[in-house]
Amino acid sequence: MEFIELMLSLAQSTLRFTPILIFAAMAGVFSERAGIVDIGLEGKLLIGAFVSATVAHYAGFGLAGLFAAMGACIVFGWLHGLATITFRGDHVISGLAINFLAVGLTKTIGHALFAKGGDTPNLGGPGSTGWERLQGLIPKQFWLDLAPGLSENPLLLNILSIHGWLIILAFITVIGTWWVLIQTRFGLRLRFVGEEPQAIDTAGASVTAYRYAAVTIAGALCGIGGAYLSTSNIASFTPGMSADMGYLALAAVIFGKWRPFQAMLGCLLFGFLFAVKDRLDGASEGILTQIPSQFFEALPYILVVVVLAGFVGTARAPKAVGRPYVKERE
Amino acid sequence: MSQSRELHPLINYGLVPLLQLVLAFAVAGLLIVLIGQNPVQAVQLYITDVLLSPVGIGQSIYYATTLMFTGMAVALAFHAGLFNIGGEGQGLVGGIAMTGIALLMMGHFTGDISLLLPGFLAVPILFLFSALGGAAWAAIPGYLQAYRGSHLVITTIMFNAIAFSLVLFLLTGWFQNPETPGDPKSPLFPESWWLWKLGDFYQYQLIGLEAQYQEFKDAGLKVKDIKAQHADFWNERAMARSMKNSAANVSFLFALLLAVGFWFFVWRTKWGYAIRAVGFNQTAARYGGVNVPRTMVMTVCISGALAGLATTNIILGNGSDSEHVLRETGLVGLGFVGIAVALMGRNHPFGIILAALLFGSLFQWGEVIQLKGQFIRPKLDIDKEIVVALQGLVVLFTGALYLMVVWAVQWFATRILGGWGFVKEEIGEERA
Repeated sequence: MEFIELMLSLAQSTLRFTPILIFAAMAGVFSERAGIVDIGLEGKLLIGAFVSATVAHYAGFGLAGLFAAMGACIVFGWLHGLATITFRGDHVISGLAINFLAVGLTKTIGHALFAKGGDTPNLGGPGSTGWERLQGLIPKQFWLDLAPGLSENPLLLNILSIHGWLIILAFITVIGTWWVLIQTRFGLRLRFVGEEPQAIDTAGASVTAYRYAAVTIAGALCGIGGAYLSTSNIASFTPGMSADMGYLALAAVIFGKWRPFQAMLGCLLFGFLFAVKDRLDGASEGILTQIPSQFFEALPYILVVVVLAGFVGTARAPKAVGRPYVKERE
Repeated sequence: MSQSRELHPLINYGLVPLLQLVLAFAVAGLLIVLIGQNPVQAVQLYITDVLLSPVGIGQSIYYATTLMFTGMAVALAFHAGLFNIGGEGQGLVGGIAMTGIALLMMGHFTGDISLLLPGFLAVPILFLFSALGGAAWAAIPGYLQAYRGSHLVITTIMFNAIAFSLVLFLLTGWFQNPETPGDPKSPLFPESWWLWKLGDFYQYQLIGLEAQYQEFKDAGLKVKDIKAQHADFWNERAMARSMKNSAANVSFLFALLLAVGFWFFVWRTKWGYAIRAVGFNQTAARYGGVNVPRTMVMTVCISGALAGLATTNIILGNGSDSEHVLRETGLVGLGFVGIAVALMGRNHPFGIILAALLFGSLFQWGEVIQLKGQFIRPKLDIDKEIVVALQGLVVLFTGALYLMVVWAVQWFATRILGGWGFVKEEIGEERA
């Protein structure tokens, strides 16, 4: 019985961590399959989290924060595109620059706006209408104001407010990513841009346009991930709150061998390990305390190194990943 | 290809980096304006409290020392065409190895302090172990890159995270200071192992000066009398008091020596030749008789050793007496900044020294803004993390958008300056 309870609570917290990883990982799948290495996932998550929490605070409306976060992350995606696609810069260096910028800008601007050491104001505090946060598409408070009797029926209330819709969206995103990449002409070409850009060029399509499309989609997805982090998962932004989730998502992409569904499984596994670690940090007794919590923290990274080393199947990156495409006649 | 036009070295090594820096600083200045602060004030603070203040210079040198190690670590790997972004993790494991051997000597595990060596014997051992630790942590990603084709960037990112978990595990267990159970840090290193720092000299001088001061006091002089009658003495004492915690230490000289060694190694030895050959063209290097995988592993290991050495400056050379300990923060992000230093310094030790001093002074600038900004009028209220944003801009303009600046300069040089001899057109340009 105790075991079942433990498993249930672990499953619940896994579901809470995983969407962040999934959004970032799908962003990673899109960029990497188009030949763009995206170390900047981490920074974009942080920027998305900051922008969504800030805009949601000022607008009093979480969805506005979500769209603003997507916009901001797309802009940083374009910056990455400008550096790597147009000016043929190194992908890793550009990504690192974005990560530096994310840490520096969020803290500097956050401090200038709110003077709370970089934190944004709490969105769920007293006097909030419920619209500031994104836990449900329509806040529970809205339904309760309409029909106070609903508080006796939490299940119906959850369904009506579409509680946790971003978690559902995360899994829909995986299906969407698979469908776009594998089933559409756009996806086919996008994958070719990452494998054999010359072929796409010869076919008369623009490699540059496809790569910019990839960084745009990746930016938008990172924005949703960031918004989930700061306006759904918890109710404010704190500096450095992405806590290497972007790197972990990149790890999940590699773990999933650059395929959407496998990457999602990687995210679920890493999310589960994260949940176990989180539980261990608080626990004093139980079946899991024999193992140090840091082991679970490090395990995802160790697994990825094992996969990368080629001890489990073969992990082959898209062929043209990280290489600028230069037209032959120029 | 358009890049085969060669720029005059003066432009390539002078104008281009200068323009990149100017761009980065201009954007940072714009950011300061946008958050409603005065950039002129920020620059003033940089000049008065960093460039022209002895304390500021001392602290800048302290930060620069760490950055020279991490910058050279990144640069060496760059020469072989490899990107080691694992400096942070390698520094941590260097710190772990160093702390491990130190705690063994201090009798932390056994209670036996017979191994407590004097400083002149212990410090070289600690340096050696920090280098070995860093090299060992880099060896696995290096091996995986060279022999199994796993991308070094990804593996070193993973190893950074693993190192962080490892150090937390050790600091909450075997390495934990028994006196501070809640605070994950190692026991304090013995004072005889601390590196000689600039502040020591002033601390020593201060003993005499304070005695003198007491004599003046006993003679019945008021503070303002001493100020008026013994101005030289007063200034000397003020200087010594402000400098007594200055963290600039002997490892700066060690880093300078290492920079010379770096130059000799890369450009004057057969190993350096092999490294550069691998960086230029692996196929040609293999054809020329270079064992490419082995050279890669060697490069990454030496790179890791350099990153590991960076930790000695932070633990043994710390300015604060209570901070001569291993902490989970390790290189406090300076491992990553090493990448900016290497990019800025164009992978040449001389450039790295200059870039490290620049970034070191910027770090100190951040500290000064945080500490002093509140007290000047009008108030300068900027978070010190603006320095991280500035680093990002520098990395962006010197690294990622490098060609943007170069193309702009090329366009300007060919179209506007035309035949002034700044651009050499390559004859026999290859056109497919």
